[in-house]
Amino acid sequence: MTPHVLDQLPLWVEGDLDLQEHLSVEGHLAQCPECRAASEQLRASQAWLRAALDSPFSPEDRERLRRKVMAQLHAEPAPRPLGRLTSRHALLAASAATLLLALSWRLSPRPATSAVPPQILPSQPHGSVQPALSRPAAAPAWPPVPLARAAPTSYPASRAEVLDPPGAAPARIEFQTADPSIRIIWLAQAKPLPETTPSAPEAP
Amino acid sequence: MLLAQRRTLVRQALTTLPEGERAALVLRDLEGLSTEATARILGVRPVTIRSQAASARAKVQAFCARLIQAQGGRS
Repeated sequence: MTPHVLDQLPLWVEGDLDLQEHLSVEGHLAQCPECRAASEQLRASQAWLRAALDSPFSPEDRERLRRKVMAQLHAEPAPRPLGRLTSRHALLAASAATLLLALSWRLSPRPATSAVPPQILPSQPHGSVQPALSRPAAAPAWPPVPLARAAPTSYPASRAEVLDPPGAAPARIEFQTADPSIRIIWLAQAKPLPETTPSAPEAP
Repeated sequence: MLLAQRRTLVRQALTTLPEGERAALVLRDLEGLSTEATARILGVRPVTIRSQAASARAKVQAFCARLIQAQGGRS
């Protein structure tokens, strides 16, 4: 009988022997009960090791999970990197800037003939900026409400209110945007501006 | 023996192994990686992986057999 192969069994059990050694060990195992018993114990130990640390999930479970995760990833919109304005925010910022410009122009001391009450939009429960556009005759010198011009119809400001008369205390304009969590409040302090030909503010 | 008990036993066995042997055993036998891949991951030669894994297997078997025997003797 060939020499015992107990030392080689840990390599044999996982196929780490080269072909010739492997066949030699197998040949001996066929003849040696002692080594055969040891080989079976080692095999069982390895199976036990794997079973004990095996995941309860089958490959099908893993595949299903992977597909679900990928579907969810594709369904969600890509996160916007911080610091980059979305088109919505850009419009809002531009509209607000235009409004401020218009307001400061409006509040500057001007000849009485061109005094026009500031654009007051009617308070409406579900107002949009569209009413401002429907009253062009009421405010000939008043530039169009920037929000109406700048904002697309899909993104109206719901309400703009001028709460104070011009030229007195700082004007305060509040408007609720389409996003219920965003409300814009502008305070503008009138300052004398050099007398210039009033012109429409820059469109955003 | 319950699965939970087996897990505990096996984990105990793994902690008794030196780091290299444990890594070789886990990657090779539990994760199913080839000897070459395991060697590449651990930055050693394949022959080292083979001998470390073999040593680990023998130790785990001896550890478990000893514990089971001890438990069997008590109960």
